[in-house]
Amino acid sequence: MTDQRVRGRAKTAELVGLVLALDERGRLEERERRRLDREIGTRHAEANGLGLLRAWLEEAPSENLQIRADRVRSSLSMLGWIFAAVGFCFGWVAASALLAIEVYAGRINIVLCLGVLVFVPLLMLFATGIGWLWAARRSAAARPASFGDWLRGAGLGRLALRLVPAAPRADIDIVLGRMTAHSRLYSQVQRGQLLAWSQAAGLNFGFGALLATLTYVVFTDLAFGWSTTLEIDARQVHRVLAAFATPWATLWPDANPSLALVEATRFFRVDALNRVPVEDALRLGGWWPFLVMSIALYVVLPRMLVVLGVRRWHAGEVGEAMGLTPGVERLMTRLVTPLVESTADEEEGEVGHAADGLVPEVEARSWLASKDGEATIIRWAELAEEASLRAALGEGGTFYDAGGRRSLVEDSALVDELASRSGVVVLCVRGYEPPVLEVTDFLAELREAIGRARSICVLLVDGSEADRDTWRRKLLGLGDASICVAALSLGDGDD
Amino acid sequence: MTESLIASSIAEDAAGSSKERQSGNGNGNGNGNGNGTNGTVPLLAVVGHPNKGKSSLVATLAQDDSVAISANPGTTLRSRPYRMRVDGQHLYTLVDTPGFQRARRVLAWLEARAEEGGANAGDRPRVVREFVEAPGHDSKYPDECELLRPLTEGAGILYVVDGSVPYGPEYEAEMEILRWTGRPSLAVINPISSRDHVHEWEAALGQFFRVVRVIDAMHANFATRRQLLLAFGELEANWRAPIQTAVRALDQAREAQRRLAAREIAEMIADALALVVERKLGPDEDGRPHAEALEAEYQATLSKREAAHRRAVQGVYGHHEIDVQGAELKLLEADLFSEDAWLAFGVSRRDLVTAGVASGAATGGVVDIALGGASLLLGVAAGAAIGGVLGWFGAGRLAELKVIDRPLGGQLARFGPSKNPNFPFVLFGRARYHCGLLAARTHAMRDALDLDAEQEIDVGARFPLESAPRSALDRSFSALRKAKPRSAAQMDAIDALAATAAEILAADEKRSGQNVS
Repeated sequence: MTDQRVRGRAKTAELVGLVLALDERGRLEERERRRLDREIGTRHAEANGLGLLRAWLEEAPSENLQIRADRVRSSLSMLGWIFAAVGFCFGWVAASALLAIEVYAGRINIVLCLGVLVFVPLLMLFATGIGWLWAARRSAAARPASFGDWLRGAGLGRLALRLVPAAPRADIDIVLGRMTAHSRLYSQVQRGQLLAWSQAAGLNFGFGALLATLTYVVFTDLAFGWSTTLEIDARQVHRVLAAFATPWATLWPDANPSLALVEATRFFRVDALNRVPVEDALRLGGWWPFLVMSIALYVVLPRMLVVLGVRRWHAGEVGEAMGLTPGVERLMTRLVTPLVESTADEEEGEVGHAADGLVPEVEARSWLASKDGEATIIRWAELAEEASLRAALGEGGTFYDAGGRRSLVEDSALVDELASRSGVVVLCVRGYEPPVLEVTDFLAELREAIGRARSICVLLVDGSEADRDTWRRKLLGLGDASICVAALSLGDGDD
Repeated sequence: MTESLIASSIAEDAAGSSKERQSGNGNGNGNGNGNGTNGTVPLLAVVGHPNKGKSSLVATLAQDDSVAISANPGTTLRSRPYRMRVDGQHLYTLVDTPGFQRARRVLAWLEARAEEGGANAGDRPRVVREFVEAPGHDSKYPDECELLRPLTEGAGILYVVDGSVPYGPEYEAEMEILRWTGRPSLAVINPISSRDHVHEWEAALGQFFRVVRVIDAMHANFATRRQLLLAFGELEANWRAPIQTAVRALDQAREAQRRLAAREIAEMIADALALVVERKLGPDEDGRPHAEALEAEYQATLSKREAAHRRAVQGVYGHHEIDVQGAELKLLEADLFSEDAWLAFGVSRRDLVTAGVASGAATGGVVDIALGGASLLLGVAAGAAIGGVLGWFGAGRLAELKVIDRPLGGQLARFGPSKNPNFPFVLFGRARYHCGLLAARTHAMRDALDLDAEQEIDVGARFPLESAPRSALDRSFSALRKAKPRSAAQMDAIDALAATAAEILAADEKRSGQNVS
């Protein structure tokens, strides 16, 4: 059997679909579940592992469940968009507010702008990275709360869920319920999803800030400056800024502030009071390429890389969680194991029942002794030697053979011959063999020939008590009041 | 009635195969349709004297609990087909038939008819068909018509006799009739209660049948069933491929059963090792008076979970209706916590000490490595000693009562989880024993096992645990104890335990002759 372990990258929506579909499959009867799953497995015989699981997810859920899974999928996607939109708005508002306040104040402090729009997000990114690495080192089991708990609890999670329409919210609740039940298994996935969403929010913060800055650049005459009470040489500041702008200095030289610009835009508060001439105002606006490139390279680009990395890592966690999801191993076995059906298609029909009652049982020797006339002893199917039977039954009686290798004609001739005799008849049969119709036919024929008055005893040679009961019940079916059964043990061999 | 039953079965096959071809799901070897010699789907009729185990053999081969089996002869009145399908592809059909009742009469009719028509040996199958189709024979010879009809439709013969009773001349007429059908045949000697007359039967049947096998229909293990199926495939040249496909599928299904059973065992043990029962206490309440009740609750919960696990494993092996009685199963029914169960299924104190020493030494070794050898291997020695002592003294206790403070006031009396090193071995031993019984159990077994209740069943001898798998189990149990419930670590530990358990179950089957792979 090929390796069917589920490995690879997957989306949260697939995990959600899997959880819902397994719940639905669990409601089916085992045989039906095996049949349906194996049919899918046969159709996708070339697939294995996660590929096979995906094929199952495409086909297994009912139409209704597909709709529900799609709803959950789009709700989760909507939550992702909400996070992104919130991030974008925060970025836009932060940049706009800062620029608006500064514009109102006269000139924009480029250091403050860099601090709020670049360094703070960069610091947050750094803190996130440290936290992520720290969390990754600890075992998932040691973490206190799952994302499910967080999302269902107070705060942003509850608020976010309220944004989701009622129907998918109920489905999300089912999924979260299961995730809570297996919170330790899914905690990494939940954490990863939160991380992915938060990083998307961070990325969109950068985009929002960038767009707001560009809007101000296009529609407002921005005048940047920098200032300090400390005695710092403008050349030192320029060196720091040049280093900061190194990545794009050759690509876009204008975005690398020159020493002249740094020197010219110092003490802007004093300058602002003296009104800036128009030609200087143009120069003061020369900081904007630096600000835009700083946001793009130190906020947007790292976030973008982190988003890609987190998504990749998260997809791996989701894939692993799919493989570990309770029920998946059994599902994979159902998918790859041939469905063997060998039972009857129809219910067992009518079965044979023995008669309710028994013909009388006698002790052979004493029964024979109590009867008048010479007994006729018939050995059925060459049963036992005459001598051993005679020894067991006592002297007297005439021996005949019937059944076995003798023909039916010979049996009929014997019956005719016995009709002319008197005395009881003993039919010796193997007690351990079942009473077949051939024997009962012979007995019926014999009875018809000898009449009702003469007794017949069926002597069961060897066989168990259960065998005797079987014979007694079977013979009752003949409706013969003058028939009885006796048992005789000659040992295993009958020769 | 049966005429239509067999015919409809064949018609369904043809329809199914046509559908398969249309949907492109056929296997392309033309095995999807037909029957007997006309097609390529083997058809085998299980025939013989009444009460010789035909239905038992069918139930065992078809793995069908619904086959009516009775000690009373003549239980089977109608032929009943059992179609073996793998993924919907029909591979062969077994037909259970009633036993011969009037063999000499039938043979006399055949001989008379052949003589009348001047038929030679080659015409005999036609004469048999004429017998089956003759007006009135359905009511006059219902059993013979039922059993001969599949043979006239191309079925092979599987003639069943009882090897525990002597051979008798009354069988010769039956075998002669079967010879008249001209169908390929195979004889099975089924020693119902003993093997006393098997050789006698082999000698007799060898004169009529090319292939003679001795198979205990009631207790035939998987390997025997597999070999019998392969023998079916040799009856006709074009039967080999479908039968071999069927055997391969059975092998795969068997392996899947083992893996699923192993996973059930692993999950049950994980569940049991994580089990705790708790009771809230007042702020200064003494927890000790609750110890007995909590322990009882703990044991009852464990027993319930073990019972649920057994039902699941029985489902895996297709024994939904198993009667859990009998001497052999009494071992399983014994109280999980009884000394007998622990002695039978657990590992000895000596083994526990050995495992504890090894485990402790490994832990101590880590300390030695960390100290760069400065500890002069004292870590190994101390770890081994501690592990050994824990193994010795820990063997007797199941779990302990703990009273812990609750964050919002009050206390909690908690019993479990069990730290006893022997506990998971006992659980595993019982589950393994249960699986062993199920794997060996055929679908012909209806009554509880009738074994001598006083008989000593040496579990240790029947299910030995070598040191390598024992160490693997020990590692998995340790990992399960450390992992939080439902964590990824627990899932990994369950995976590892299931893999070890599957290997042990496979070895058990191989040892008992259940597995030929």
